[in-house]
Amino acid sequence: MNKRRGKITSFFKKNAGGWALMLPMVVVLYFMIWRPQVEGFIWSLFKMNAYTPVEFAGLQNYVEVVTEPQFLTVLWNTVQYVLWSLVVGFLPPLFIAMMINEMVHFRNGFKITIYLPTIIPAIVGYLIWYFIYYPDGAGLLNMLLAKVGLGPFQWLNDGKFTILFITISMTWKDLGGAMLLYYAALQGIDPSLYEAAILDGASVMQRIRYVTFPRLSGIMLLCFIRQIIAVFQVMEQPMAMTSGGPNGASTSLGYQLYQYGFVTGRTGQALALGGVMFGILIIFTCFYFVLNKKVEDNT
Amino acid sequence: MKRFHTKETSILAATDLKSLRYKILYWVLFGILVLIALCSVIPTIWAVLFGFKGSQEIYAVPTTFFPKQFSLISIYDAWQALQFGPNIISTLIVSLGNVAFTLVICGLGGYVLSRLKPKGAKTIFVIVVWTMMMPSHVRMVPLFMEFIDFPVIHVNMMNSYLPLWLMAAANSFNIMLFKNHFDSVSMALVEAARLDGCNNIRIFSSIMVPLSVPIIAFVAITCINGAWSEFFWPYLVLNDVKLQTLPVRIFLLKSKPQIKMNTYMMGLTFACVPPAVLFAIFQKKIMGGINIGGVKG
Repeated sequence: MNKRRGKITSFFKKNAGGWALMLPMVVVLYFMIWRPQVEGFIWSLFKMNAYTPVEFAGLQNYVEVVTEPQFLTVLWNTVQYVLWSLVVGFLPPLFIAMMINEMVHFRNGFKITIYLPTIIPAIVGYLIWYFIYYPDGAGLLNMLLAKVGLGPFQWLNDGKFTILFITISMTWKDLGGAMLLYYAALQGIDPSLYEAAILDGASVMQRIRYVTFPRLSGIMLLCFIRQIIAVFQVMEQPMAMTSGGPNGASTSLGYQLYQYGFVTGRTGQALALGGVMFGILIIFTCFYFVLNKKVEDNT
Repeated sequence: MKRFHTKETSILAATDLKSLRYKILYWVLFGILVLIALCSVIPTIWAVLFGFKGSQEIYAVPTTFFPKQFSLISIYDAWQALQFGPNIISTLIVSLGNVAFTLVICGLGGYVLSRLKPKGAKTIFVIVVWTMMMPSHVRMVPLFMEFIDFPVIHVNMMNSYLPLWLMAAANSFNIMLFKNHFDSVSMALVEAARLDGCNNIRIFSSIMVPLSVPIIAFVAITCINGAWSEFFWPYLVLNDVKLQTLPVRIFLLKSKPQIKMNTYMMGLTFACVPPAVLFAIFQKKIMGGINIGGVKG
């Protein structure tokens, strides 16, 4: 009996201190992440009155979200955001990092200057671009075009290209982080590998193909998936630059969710849309974890 | 001026650069980088210069890149029109709170996960890793509901900074950063201290903390930057104009017709100053931080 009690006290002694120190973290994570994450799913099955769940409604919120006439448009818009951001923004940071890594002159200067847009507050960056795309003569792009006798163009007000223009500003703002990541990876490649390749008579393309690329492919794939996940949730950019317009042409799923949840008072649909987005993205998230483990094991 | 023969071998080697073909290639790449660097800074410079334009210059044809004259009066006028004082103080309070909450909560958490490992810590760690990449939109509305009526204590947290501080602390990435850091601290030091009779808290405060100054600084800087940059949640939570952080105020002023475009641009400039100063001081730390969490992130 006494022995067992001693065991319990020693178990308690061993663990209580750790738990006490960890408790604030667990509490905060519970209330800020885990609880709302689970509640989001539960309440998406309820009829909501503003911010109070009223009664169980099954999949009704989901049905309402998916059968909404603009749902497919919004989904396609979101896919367009992802596609354009990959076209405009996936390879440039890699190429820029590779070029900087080859420089003898101003290497640090280039690195810092190209990183600069990352440090200005996100919303300020988007608002600056809102004015760059300003549809009258005061906007920077129309001013430049006027100098060569063109324009003025409508830019963000032209629904066909709004998403492309928004992704350009996103790329401008976020390229620095990925660039540094690739740069660090490039710096980690042992120069003797290149020297060996050069002795073997490898051309520049061959050196990139057989020395550089194999050492970057893991990070590239991780960045690729991370970008898909991040851009699929795009919300603040259309909010700041276009309010989802013109005519809903730049409304993303995230922005639609914000509209449902905090503007038009359709909380139930907001929750259901969150569930839909989760369902789509969790596939990528799982893939990311599997891949991340592989890449970590290789490095 | 550095010479080509000092080049470390990467894709191009010093020997390559002796030939004309590669010299041309090098300078073409150099030119491309100059162009990219210009594209990176011109938008911001344009916005700053726009702030100095007089109000009759905004729509003058043809519009120009540079304002006709620089006067400090335009800064003063914009400051008078925008009344950012309370918002700057509010953003400062948010940044300090973010730092305090994050360092204490994530720092201790990372320490326990890395060193003390009580029973159950492994499970917690797995969940922390998984929540890092969870799609977050599904928890937006429930989180807002919590802030209106916080569970257990039933407090309305709207128009207070508490939600922002708590959310800053619930950052799995920072927890991982601390954990990885504490993992790298030599075990021998800890054992020696334990033999000398240090308890866990002593070990944490007199060995771990001094060794962690670089990572503490990095996390603190990103927290402060977050407060000057975060927009969405402060926008939802802080409705009182005086409590709003600068990014929120800036966003709301966009739809106010009485603020002219040049004044507004000066406002955007004001909002860039604190992060820019922070970057100027801690540039090495901020850009080096990528290596801390980067690949493993």
